[in-house]
Amino acid sequence: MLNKEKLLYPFYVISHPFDGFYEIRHRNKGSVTVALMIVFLFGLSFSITRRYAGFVVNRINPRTVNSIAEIFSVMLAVLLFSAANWSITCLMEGEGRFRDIITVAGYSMLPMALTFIPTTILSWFIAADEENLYYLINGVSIILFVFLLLVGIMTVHGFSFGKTLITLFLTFVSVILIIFVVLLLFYLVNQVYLFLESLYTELIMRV
Amino acid sequence: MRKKPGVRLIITLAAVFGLAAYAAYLCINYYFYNEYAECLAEYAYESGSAFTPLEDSEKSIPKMVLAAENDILKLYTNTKTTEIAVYDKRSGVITWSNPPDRDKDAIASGRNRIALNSQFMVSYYDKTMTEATMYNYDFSVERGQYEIEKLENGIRYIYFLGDLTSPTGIVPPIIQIERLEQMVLSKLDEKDARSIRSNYMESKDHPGFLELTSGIIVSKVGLQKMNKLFEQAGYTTEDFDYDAALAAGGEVQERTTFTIPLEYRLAGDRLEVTIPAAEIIETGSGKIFGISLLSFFGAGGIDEEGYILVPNGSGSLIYFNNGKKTERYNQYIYGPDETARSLTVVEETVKARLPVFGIKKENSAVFCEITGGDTLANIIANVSGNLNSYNNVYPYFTLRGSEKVSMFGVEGISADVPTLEKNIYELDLKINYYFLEQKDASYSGMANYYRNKLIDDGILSPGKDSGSIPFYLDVLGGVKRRESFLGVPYMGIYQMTGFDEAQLIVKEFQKNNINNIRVNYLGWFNGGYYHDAAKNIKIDRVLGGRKGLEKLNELLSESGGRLYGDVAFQSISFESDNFNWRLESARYYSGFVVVHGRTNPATLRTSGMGYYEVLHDVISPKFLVRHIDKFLNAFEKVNIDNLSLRDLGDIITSDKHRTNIINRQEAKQVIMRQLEKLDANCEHLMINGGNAYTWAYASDIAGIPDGHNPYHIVDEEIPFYQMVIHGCINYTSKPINLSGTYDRQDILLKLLEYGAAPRFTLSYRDSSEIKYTGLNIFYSTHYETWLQDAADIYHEVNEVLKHVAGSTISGHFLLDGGVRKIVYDNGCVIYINKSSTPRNIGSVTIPAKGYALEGV
Repeated sequence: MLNKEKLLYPFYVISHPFDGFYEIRHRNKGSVTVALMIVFLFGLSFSITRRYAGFVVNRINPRTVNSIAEIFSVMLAVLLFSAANWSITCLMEGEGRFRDIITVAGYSMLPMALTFIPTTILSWFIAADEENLYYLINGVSIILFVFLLLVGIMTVHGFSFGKTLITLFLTFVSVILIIFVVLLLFYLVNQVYLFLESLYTELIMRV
Repeated sequence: MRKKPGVRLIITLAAVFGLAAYAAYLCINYYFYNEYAECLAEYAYESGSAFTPLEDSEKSIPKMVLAAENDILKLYTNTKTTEIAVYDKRSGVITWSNPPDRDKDAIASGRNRIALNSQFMVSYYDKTMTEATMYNYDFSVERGQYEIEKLENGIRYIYFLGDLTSPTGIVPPIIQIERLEQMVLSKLDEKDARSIRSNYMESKDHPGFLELTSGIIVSKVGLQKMNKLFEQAGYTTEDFDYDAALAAGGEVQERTTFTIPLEYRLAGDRLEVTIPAAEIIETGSGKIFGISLLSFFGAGGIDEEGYILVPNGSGSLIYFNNGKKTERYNQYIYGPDETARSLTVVEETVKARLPVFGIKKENSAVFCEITGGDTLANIIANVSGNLNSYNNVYPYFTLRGSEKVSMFGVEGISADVPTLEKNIYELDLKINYYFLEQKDASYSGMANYYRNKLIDDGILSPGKDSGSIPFYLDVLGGVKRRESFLGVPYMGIYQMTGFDEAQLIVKEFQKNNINNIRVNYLGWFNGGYYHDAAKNIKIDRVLGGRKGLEKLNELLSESGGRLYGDVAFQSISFESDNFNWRLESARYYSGFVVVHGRTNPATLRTSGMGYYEVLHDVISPKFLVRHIDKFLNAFEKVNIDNLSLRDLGDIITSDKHRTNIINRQEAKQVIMRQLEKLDANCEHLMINGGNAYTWAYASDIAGIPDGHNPYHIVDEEIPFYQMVIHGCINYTSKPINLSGTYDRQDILLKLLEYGAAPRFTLSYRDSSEIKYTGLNIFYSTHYETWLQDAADIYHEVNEVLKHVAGSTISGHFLLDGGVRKIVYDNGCVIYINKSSTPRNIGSVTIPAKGYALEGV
């Protein structure tokens, strides 16, 4: 169940990543619900940045932004990453469970979820030459995200740094494989459907 | 937790009951709903008696017999060739169904010569589903397979089309040994019998049968001799068929034949030609899908002068022998069917809105109106020189729907499976030919005749309005626009012009001395311009709600204007919630519902152009009845009196729903009944498009053709449509501020020549606000931009046209040097000079690119 400690734990993690992630794996300090909430918040802030950031830093046509679709895609990406990572680390003697991987991915996004909305507000007040400030803050949060993710994966699986890099590369490969298989499946189902449909059409046309 | 059996039973029962109730709801409301059937016409078939030629006091046409006569016309026919001719007693002019000098035609040969002799040509699918044609001359008349019947005021030919002979005559190619002996050989003398026997040999494939030797089959003389002997023996075609059946193992392939009645009746000064399609009989595997009727009626020869009138947009003339023989004119009346329309449009065309055509010769003219089957007709016109030496115009009727449906997984030609409807459309194809005297032998005469006929029929009534011409103002109200909240998009209604803002625009025009303002409010209910299905009316609150609309209506009706509420009944936007598109839309044969959008001028493809609301289904005529009934119920409670119909007078769609096909003619009958209802419940109707059948109900027509399609074959553009209705119905064409080219003087001259009132589509807010909506076709509607121009154009046009408001156009003349002269029945004459040099006509000088008014 959710309690104050669990809700505040992500803040502890981003300030003490090694300890924090270790305790997630071994003392059940993490929470998948909280992680998913952070993913959701990140998706929302990501969308809001795209939609509302000032024109100095924003090259996106605000009409094309659909935050529901974007939040959904972020969620899906996290799920895909976790599934792929889990399937690789299982084979490479990683200690992390599926829920740990999701938690790691979710908690690492906290810096971005925290900074995107303030920087969006900031972007309304900056002039053309001052956009570096905006990019700096966002950049730091993104680098922090990558760092947290690396540390998190390393810690929950008990890997060395090199092994983590290799698993992440393999994760990337398996993400592509999963997408390929899913698309193939969709295509085949579609073909079967089209076949049945044309069969029906031909029946009603000729009989 | 385990459920108790009783609970489970109750849940199951409830589910079953719910499903049954839903199924019953669907059946009652959709599958068995057929209120539309009450709108359909019924057809009678007059029984005929044996034909005997009438006593002819004065034989007007040699070699022909009199079939019917009245005070004005005499109908002659040649019972050998089945051609007819109409003798006009007033002028002595004879109009032939087939050119009398066709034998001398130097160009036509083969099939084209047969065509000249024929009264009609049927197009049909044969056994292999290949398209084929049959002329009634070589497949019926030449073979003597027709009957003549006498009708009350005319005659009926019943043609039996088909090839009853075989290549070998009545000599069977395969016959049983005993049958040959018994039927033929025993009845002939020994020498003949031996000669016949010698032409047969034992069949290898069919034991017990004899086969004709290959030598005799190719010998014409030998076959002739054998045919004679078989006849002598009393062997008949029935015996031949019997033997053929025996040889084929009992299965006899029935021959493809068609029985088609063709009726001619005289009624007053017109000839009525009818094909009662319900009486057409098909045998064998042939399936008729079309028929072209009386292709050469009144055709003009190669040495004659005259022209053909075709209903191309506003109307065009094709001069006889104009040399443009490579192309022919072919256009659907009322535009192509929505379920047959291609999704790529090769050219932007103006629809033919009138079911009429005509042929003018030196001293006479024939004007023709299609009164039955008009929605299924195309008008085809040819000039001499290509297939024959005649200039002709005629209708082609679609008698049975067909379509090529593409099959999945198959490539090439075989992917297209021709699909045919089971039955021929049961209706009367009916053409009326009117014979005009020399003084009326022109397109002006035809227009006058047509108008007078419509006035007599009570469809048009002249002289309703006089004084200032109306100013047509389309006000763009609510527009569906994609808005977003925290990046979540939703469809909002953007207020381009609220009701009080519309008042402001109207007042601005009134300040400019324009009082006869007819406002057509676009997008006032159910969610803006692309509104929800018009089954109920919810006046859009963003625009100012019910009260606002009421005030606007008051303002207009008190100041001599009118407020029309725009409504689309047939095209229903994808954004519509109150519409069961799976069940209520018109469908293709393949079962898909009809979906249209807008044509992209760059790619020529029809799509939503990126906006979902632009895509729309087309409602089946079956459910149109219910929509309009419900709409009228709701309309009673709304405080406006006039409606503008966006598409009811513009498109007609058939429904190819496999188990319930509604053809276009039936759809038209349904639409006409709906118009009648709407007319009874509204004070005035404005009809957009204005197909001819809507005239009886329209007090204003918007968007009428403002020109013709400049096809290669046509020579002159004339305002025939306008000549018919001017003075009876107020009309206007496209909005001036949205027309493709803006040359003020050209627009002005067109309005003056066509007698049309100006029309503008305006909004209170700038059009850039709706740049990213489905209504970005309204790209320049800001009223401040157009106010002054609109007022100027109106006053300049009104200065001339107010003198002729309520008068009819009695003549339109194409004078030399690009000058056009329009004569009104109150004596006013308008001259239009389209050339860039001033012209003098009599005492009148018309400035370059200018006009002059005479007789005020």
